[in-house]
Amino acid sequence: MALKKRKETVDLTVVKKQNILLTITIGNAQIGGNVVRFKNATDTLGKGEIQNLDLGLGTDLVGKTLKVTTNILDVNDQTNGIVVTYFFHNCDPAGTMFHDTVSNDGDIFSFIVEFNFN
Amino acid sequence: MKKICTIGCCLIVATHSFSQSGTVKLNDLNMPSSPAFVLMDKSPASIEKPSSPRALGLSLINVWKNSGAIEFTPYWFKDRPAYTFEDNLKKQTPILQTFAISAATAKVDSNTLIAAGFRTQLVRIYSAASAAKILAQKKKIVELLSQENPDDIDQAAVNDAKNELNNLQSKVSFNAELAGAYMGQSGPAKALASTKAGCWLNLRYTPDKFPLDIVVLARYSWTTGNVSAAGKDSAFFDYGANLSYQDKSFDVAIEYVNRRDISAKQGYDRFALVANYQLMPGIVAVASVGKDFKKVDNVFGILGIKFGISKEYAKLK
Repeated sequence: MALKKRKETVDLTVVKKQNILLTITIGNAQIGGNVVRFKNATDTLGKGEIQNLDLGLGTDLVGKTLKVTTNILDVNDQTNGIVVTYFFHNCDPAGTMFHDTVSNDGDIFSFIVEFNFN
Repeated sequence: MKKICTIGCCLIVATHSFSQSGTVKLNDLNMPSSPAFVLMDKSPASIEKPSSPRALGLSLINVWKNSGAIEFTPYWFKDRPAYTFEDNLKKQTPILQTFAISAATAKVDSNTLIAAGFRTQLVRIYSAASAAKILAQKKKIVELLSQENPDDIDQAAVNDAKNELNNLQSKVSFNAELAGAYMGQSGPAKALASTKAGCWLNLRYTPDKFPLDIVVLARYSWTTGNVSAAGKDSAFFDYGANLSYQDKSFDVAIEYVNRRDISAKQGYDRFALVANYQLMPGIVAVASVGKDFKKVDNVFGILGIKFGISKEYAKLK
């Protein structure tokens, strides 16, 4: 079982008067777990599967960075492709998608993504 | 004349087996995983598994020039971002998702054998109880993966959980699979060569709350070209059932397999009853009786003791 890592940074523009909601979708019939936390904060906002996680009002998020770690296990023996979609409701762009591959069935791919809110 | 043989005591390192030539067991009534390779009667040393159209092109050139084998599932050439694990579990007709193509070439004398085949799952239905167990196992894996530092993931635990997931996913209540393959030849002796084709249909029903396994496998293959008329077609229809019961120290299984050779207009059947009783840890008494496919000398009986060999090592501290 091998572990591959990839770091990414994404800039997002918020709708200031609306709440920002995050949904993470693991595609290709694979399984993934997440940890969501604001950078430099001690409390974790969400762990496990993330569906409509309320991050707060857009105005309050400006200038902050959200760190999301997504670890995906290849459980689909038909493909070694890994795909994850981060959907931020009330942000532009709303959806951010990353594609990659693992070498063998049963390997883990880890995305460490920092989202900067503007 | 019927014969009963009794073996007093035996040391069995691997699994006990009383297979004979021509014997088919219920576990054998499965589809070939790569039908093209079966028609060639060859097991390729390695199988290339391209995951994109570009890789497929390179693999095809390589296989054609150097002999070899490839296997690919076109549906997964493209990422499916919205197709989740749950969607896959609920999908009862995963025809596209499991449609796999296999192809192989091999040099035989001055000719090149070329085979291509496909395999797909027509129907896959999990019982509500099995689906719930799979989702519970998925939840366990999600928890193991939810680590902020990827290096903190307990990879051994994840691996064990994945193996258990695979085990649960293999317990499909109703499964229907279809496969087909064609083999041709090219080269100077092409006129003397024959071509082969075959198709397989496999149905398996395993009720959730009863230890019964019912399997039907229909196979039809035909040969054209330089063959005798008698060897042109072969068609088999196999079906079987397995009933098993397992306790802490005791298990018993009854298995019946029937094979109908449609071309030869002959039928054979096999029946076996196998029981194991654990006398003490590592020592198991085994008894089996049954009737094999053969027309004569077809009744068998085995009585024995299995001694387990532990893989654990004692350490002196």
